[in-house]
Amino acid sequence: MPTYADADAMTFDDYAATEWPSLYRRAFLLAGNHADAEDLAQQTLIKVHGAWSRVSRSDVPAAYVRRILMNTFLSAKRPRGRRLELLVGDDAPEPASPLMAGPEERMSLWPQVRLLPPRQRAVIVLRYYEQLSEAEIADVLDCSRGNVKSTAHRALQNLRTALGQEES
Amino acid sequence: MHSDLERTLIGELDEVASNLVVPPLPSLEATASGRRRLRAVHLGRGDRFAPLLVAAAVVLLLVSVTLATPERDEQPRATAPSATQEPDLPTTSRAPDDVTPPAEPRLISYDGDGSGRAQVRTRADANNLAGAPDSFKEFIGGTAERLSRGAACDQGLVGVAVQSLRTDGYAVGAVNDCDGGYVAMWAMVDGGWTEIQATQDLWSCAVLAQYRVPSDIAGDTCYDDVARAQRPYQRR
Repeated sequence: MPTYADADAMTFDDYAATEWPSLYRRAFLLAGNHADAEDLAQQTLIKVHGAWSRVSRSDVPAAYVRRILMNTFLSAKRPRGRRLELLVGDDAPEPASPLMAGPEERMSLWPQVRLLPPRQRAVIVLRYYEQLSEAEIADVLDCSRGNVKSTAHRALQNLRTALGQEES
Repeated sequence: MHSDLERTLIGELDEVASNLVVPPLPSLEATASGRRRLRAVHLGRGDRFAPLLVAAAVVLLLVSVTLATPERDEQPRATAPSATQEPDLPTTSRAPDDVTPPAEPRLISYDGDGSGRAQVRTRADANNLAGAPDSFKEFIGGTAERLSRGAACDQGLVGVAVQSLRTDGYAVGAVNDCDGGYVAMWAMVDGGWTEIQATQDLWSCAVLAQYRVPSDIAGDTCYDDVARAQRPYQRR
């Protein structure tokens, strides 16, 4: 994610246009499907817009936005209607993108990552996609390093178990 | 130092992300008002009913003016004291005996800032909900203040927005916190206000039926959880 030396001069429109692809990619890795990824990325942008004066003044806007994204994703508040939407989403086959159809079919871990509990998925994405350190992840998730370590451990253990079951 | 599993993980996550077809950025205008758009599923219904609501309000206003005593009225909009219209309000003092008996419930639509609802962040904001019973002001003000106090963000949208209220104990609006927002329906239950539904989708028909929610609060459709389908809803 690029950093903005001249953040004061940056407008929200500029920021949104520049960051949308990156935001969407991270949202997809967290949400696991296009519909929820779009929703998540859009909700994050809305919140960024609401807090723009603070985001744009921040030394590291990317860190601020990452935190908003994660808070939005990990939000425990799943209103009834939202759960209904997810139920429908789970039942409905995810429309395969032509570019995704090939690689995803031969992936062994990504399908299992999508099945991890949200917090474990968040740690996996922050650690192995965003390449953040445990301390940085702890800061994003507002928890201790030990908590990050144990969550990552459980996530990797779940992935290993799932792989083992798949292979046997 | 990464294990084989971790290296595979890094590779696959990268591959998934880089092969994604990213949809176009949503319209910034729509995004900026996205919270409203999220709730448009419900609040939009209210918008469609706006002319009817206005007409109903005018009729009720005329009726109440006719019924009102000719004495000086400090509150031009007010009709009979609200206490007479909520028999189960626990704290509101009763109106004097010579006040007209309970009339038809009034529907009050709020449009404080032109957004179609009144924003409430504090108890003081709630006190500005014209025509609302004191118990509702207290309930909504308390809810909004709890949200604001617990907010882990500095967004100005945290709080409650009241769209409309029926004086016989129903109201609808939206609740926003740092994690997002949803539309909420409140009702007087056992003498106190409570949130009976929260959703970003259609109201549940079962809940509407359980609390006998009138259509001018709930709209004309609901979601039937058993039939798993949307169906018309109508209740006076």
